[in-house]
Amino acid sequence: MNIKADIAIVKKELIEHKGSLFFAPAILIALFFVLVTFQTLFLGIEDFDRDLPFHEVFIMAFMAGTAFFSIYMLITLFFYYADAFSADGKNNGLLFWKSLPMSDLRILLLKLLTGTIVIPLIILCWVVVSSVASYIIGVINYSDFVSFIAPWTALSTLLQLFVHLAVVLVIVLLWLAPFYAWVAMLSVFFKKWAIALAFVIPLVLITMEEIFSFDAFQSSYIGDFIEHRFKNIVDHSIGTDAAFNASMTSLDMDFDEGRNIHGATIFLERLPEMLWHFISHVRWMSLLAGLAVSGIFVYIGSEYRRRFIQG
Amino acid sequence: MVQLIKVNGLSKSFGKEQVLKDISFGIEEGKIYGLIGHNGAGKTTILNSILGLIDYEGEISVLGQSPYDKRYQLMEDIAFISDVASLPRFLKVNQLIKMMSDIHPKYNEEKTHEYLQNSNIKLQTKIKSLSKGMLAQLHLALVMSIDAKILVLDEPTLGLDIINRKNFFKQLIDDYMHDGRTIVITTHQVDEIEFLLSDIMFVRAGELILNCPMEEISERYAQLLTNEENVSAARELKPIYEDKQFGQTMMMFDKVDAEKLAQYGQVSIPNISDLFVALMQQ
Repeated sequence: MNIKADIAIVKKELIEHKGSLFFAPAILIALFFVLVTFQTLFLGIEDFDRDLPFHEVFIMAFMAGTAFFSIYMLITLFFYYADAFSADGKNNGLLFWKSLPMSDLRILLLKLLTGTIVIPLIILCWVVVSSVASYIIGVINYSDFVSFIAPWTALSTLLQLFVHLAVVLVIVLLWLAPFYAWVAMLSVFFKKWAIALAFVIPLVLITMEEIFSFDAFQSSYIGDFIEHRFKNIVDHSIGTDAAFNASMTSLDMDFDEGRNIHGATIFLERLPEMLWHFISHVRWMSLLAGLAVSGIFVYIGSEYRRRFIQG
Repeated sequence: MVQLIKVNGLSKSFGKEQVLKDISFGIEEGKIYGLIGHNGAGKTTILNSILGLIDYEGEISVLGQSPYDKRYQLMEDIAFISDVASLPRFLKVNQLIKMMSDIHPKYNEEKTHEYLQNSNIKLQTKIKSLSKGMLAQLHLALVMSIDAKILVLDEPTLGLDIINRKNFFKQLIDDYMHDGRTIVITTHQVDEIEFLLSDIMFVRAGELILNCPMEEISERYAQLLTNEENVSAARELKPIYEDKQFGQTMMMFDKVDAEKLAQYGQVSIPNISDLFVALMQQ
């Protein structure tokens, strides 16, 4: 086992996709920074809730950054997988990669690892960068209105949010792994057509099922399975304890009715509790089965790559 | 001498077209083999089979192992260039060197830097910015820096100008003299590699029509330049090839005594490109 070689392949993947992983997020954050500063300096501040503590604003900024970059990440990962498994074949490049003492399966598994763990963590780092940017924007633009939290308090808050979010993110992405592995496997066979085929093939299968079941109104087993597999990461049949339910209900009310301006801070305090609740309710067996299916998709892709050298 | 590669009854078809027909040969340690043939003769298919890049019928043993089943393990001891343009273009030169160093256990980074010292290739340059000649130099520098037992080069100078081709072969021969490794090289620019070969193999339409050491060429083949009045008599000795050159007739003979031929004209040892043309048109 050559860990250095594995790290080299992961690094190579990051360099190859540096545009979407490093340049684009940096530009988006810089743009956000410039736009907010421009608005503050030239257009003025409207609707700014002067009673809201800065710590609250800071946590909300993190959550907003998380929401934005989560969507960005899901899209980035889709296009990463649609490209990564076939990208080595560009410009006859497979001939070079096959001259290295690494198996095709190992290279593709490292690409899967990059997409499932490394890329999400990089994008999570951009969430942290966007939060730091928000802090700096706040200090520069709103210093007349609010009292700021100390940098170390902000840092500690960030660290807590980062760790909890990272765990959730990795579990969610492991849950989605079969979908991404499916796109990746298709890209080995069909190159850029994989993007469309990832959706077309299931749709065709669902339509065929409808036709051959001779009952257009009957729900599709394939369709239902796919929908169920994507929606239900947590098992709702597992009971939750009353104390947790009550705790969450009060947190909902704090947010919904604006009764507690410290809602985000309370949210931060309850993060460990919420994370544990999530972990204890994840459908782990289904997740493991999904990982096995992902493994099969990757293996099929690697066997095709082993047998054919055309890019 | 030890045979590093043994090929026995190698055949390969793409669909209904059979591109290799029951080829057998061996590659001995420490020699430089030239695999010569027209475009589409099957040279690359032979090499791809030896390298385990494609499946095949027949038996191939490379360093005692099946290349198709053990390709990536064998790549520790085999270095190859199949297409100089296949280097990853999104990397910089120094990133590629570092990556090779991390991945290949027998790669020597310092050696690459030594090779590149005498070139115009800058370490910070992106590979996609390099000229074709520079790409060839870089690729050769990379594979030469691998302490491999076998070096396989498939048309390494394709598309290069004459200066870059000369430099490429100079670098190759320097390395061979220094490390004494086994080299298999394919090309259709026969005359350019003639000087460095120890053995030669001609491939025609998927068949191996010649496989012998270079010194055997001079013992076996003779070229006769004769005039009109001796042509008929010379033809009695069954030339394998005949051509008109500046009013004279050139004939190529296989295993015919040079003294016998001398009575009909000027006898010489054919160069590889003439022999190639003769055998290809036989």
